[in-house]
Amino acid sequence: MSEIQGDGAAGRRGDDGPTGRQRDADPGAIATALAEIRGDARARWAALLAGAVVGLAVAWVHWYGFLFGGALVGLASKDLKRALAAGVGFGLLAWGVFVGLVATTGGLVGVVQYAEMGRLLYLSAGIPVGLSALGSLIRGVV
Amino acid sequence: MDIDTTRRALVAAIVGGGAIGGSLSPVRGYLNRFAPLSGSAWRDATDRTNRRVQSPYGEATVRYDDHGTAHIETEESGEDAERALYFAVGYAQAADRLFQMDLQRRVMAGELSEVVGEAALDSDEFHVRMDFAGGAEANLELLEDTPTGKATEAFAEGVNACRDSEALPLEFGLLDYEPDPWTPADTMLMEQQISWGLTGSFWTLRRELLAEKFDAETVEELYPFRMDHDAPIVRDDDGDSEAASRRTAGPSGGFAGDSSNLLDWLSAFESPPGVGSNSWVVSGDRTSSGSPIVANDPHLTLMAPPVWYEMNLQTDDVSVRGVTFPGVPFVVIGENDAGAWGFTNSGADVIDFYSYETDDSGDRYRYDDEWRAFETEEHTIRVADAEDRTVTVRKTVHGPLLEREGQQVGVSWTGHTATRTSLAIHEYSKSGGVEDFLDSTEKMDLPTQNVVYADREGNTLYYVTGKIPIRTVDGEEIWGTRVFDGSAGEAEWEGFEPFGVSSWEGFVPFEEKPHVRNPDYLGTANQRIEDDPDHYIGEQYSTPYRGQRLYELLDERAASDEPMDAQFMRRLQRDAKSARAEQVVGELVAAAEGDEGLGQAVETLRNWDYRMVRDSRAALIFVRWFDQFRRETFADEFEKRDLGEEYYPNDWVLATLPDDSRWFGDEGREAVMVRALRQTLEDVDEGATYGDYNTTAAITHPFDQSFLNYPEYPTDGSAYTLNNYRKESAVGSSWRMICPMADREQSIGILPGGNSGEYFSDHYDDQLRLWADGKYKSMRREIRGETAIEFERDDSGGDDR
Repeated sequence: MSEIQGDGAAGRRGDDGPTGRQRDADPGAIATALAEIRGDARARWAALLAGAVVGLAVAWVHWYGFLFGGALVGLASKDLKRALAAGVGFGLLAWGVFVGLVATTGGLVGVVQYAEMGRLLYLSAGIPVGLSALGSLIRGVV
Repeated sequence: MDIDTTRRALVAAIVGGGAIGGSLSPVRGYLNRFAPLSGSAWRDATDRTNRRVQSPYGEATVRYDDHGTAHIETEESGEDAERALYFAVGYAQAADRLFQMDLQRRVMAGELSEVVGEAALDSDEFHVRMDFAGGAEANLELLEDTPTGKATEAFAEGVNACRDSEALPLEFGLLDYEPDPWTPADTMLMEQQISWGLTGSFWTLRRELLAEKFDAETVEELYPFRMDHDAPIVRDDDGDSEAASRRTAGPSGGFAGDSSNLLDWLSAFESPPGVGSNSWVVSGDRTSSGSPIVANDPHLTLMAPPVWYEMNLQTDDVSVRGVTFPGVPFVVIGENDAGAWGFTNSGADVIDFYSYETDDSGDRYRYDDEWRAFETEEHTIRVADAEDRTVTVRKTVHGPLLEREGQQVGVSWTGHTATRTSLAIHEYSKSGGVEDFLDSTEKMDLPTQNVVYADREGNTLYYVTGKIPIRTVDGEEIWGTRVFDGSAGEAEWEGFEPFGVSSWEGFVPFEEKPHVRNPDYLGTANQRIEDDPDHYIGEQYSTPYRGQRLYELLDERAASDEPMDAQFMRRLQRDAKSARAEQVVGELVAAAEGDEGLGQAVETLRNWDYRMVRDSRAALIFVRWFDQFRRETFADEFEKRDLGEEYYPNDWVLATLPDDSRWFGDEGREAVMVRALRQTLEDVDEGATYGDYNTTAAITHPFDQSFLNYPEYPTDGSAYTLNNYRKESAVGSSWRMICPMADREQSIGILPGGNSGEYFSDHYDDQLRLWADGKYKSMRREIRGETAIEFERDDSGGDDR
């Protein structure tokens, strides 16, 4: 959590535009790095991938991982809209990984049982997508 | 710039607010439980059971067959073999049923509110006041240092090994708590639960209340001490039924005042209506193989997961397969190398109630010539999301005192003293034939059951298990059918030591309990045991409908040229012909004949074969009609007296009330029957059949989460048929088992659901459709299935643990 808040604080000095809008007088190293990543397609995709992996790793032990992963993929995106799409995408990916894990453990029966869980099914799909989308909004700050 | 800053601030606020909001309750609770990957509710969905586990007692393996039955074997020998086996049994039961085990012990210990909140306070208060935990502790002390005690300890260690190393079931995540370690006392608490569920009845108190509400003649008419039928379990033809009835005890009036509040509270915690069972044993003289056959289907609460857990256990010395209650290490109903056995409830009365004279402070009660202080203990009930509740638990020389709103009554129940039941059940697994089995049965102090047994040598046996108190007043035996004067020491049980070890002097001697050695064939369906027993056994027997039908079918077959075989036993267990319907439908048809608008229904009922089967419309009309007929007959008078439906007389009494009984008012019995039929037809959908009504939808999980309930399948049977299913109360055949003693024949069984309580398991409900359709699966004792868990000896622990 503190990491996100730290990034947010750093981000307030940065720029969210892809077109190189006027920056603060003393742009931070993070902002510069972000701008470089966003500007280079390969670096951007690498950052998206890395963000997703790190986010998933954290989500394995705590739901903060969805927020964090969403924030990382959002920060690597070119603009806020794409950040949001990346956040939602990361959430769906995380949910997909979870469903895969259920399938690996319980087989087809496990997946069918999971699909019949009603509110819990919706919650378990909504939480990663919602939190990741929320995290990705950080792109609107940094 | 300002707009940009504001926008950024807004976005930051949304992100930060969302993160902070999620970190606070109750949202945090939801996220902690239901977030995929990390959420506590999903642990079990994404974790495989460990394949290798350390055991302090040696090697064992757990395999699961195609229906999820745990096959557990060890090649250890001697004392270690049993402990290695039961360690693995504990592990497997916990892997399959840990939440159910924890829930049940919480109910019995009065600790349910701690996890579910205030809604369970009434239940907790009852269980705390009854001090079932005290009874369990007394049992445990008696078992100390016995092989049974050691096996129970190993079992508890196995449960805890699973609890520590496996993912917790979904339900723990839903309720957001983790179970405490399992202890041998918890296993004893399960025994208390089973025994209470089978023998816990407040009928004596109800009888006292009814005596206040009605006159003595009415009570005698509606609640006869004995139902007039000729199908007792043990049938002898002397026909002398007068001796026993002379000793009945009418209401004392000593339980005066408004007891309805106390009874309303208590009635939620007694044996559920309909709990009963079928069993029969047929000797080799009657079978096609020349060897006996045992069949049993206990009718208990049906739920998800089932009350029973099936397992197949094997050591070098023992091979036993059958079902047990989760939390109990030993096979309760089943089959071993030497024989097979099954239980039905005997309906024996092993609970008495006492009133006391108390002093002005209410702290002391008179007992004989002295005033005694109640034994008192303050007990705190922890409550989730609310203030804890303190209950003052009081006891007398007789046992616990139940109190509510100024009413109090002392209770003696045989479960409140140390019993050797676990010892007996454990020994059953190892029994080598009928003599061994009898020796063990003598140790089964509780619950009071009809046990049927057959061995491979051809012996058959019927015996009533459990200690049955003898009540005497002025030197004469008396029925336990009223509240006794506790202050005068009236009718108290000699040799009974509540929460200690009893000598049982004043109880019915084993040899004097109803029994039959080597019966030709014998059937039990909770009906009256004997017409004239040596001692009072009980009076709350089931209506005789199932018993009559069972003997009708057995007698018919015995009289025919066809021998009995396992196929015939299946037909008996699936038999859906209702003796209740047979008793009254002719009368109903005659009464309704020619009435306008009833022609079609009359025709349907006239052509009916009385079978409660899914495609029958007549069965649906009949079952709904009888409920309506009952209400039409009794509702007015009972409501006037603030008595609910649970006080209505049983259906045998209603079915045999004379035409001009006052309960039918001025219009008479036939008119009430017809009125009830008209009302029924208004409520029953056009074209609907019994299968639309009689479905497995009633079999639910204790949680209010529909996905945990079982699927809905139509099924056959009713409360009064051998194929037993009570849709209204979710009670019915909780396990069907047929065990032929011939080597070449195969034993079979089926559970109403699945052997696993794990929602994500293949075996959560895989037997339900088979059960609903009256089918079976094999109960072979050969160890089968792929190895799921291997236990390896962990020399660092062992006996010191």
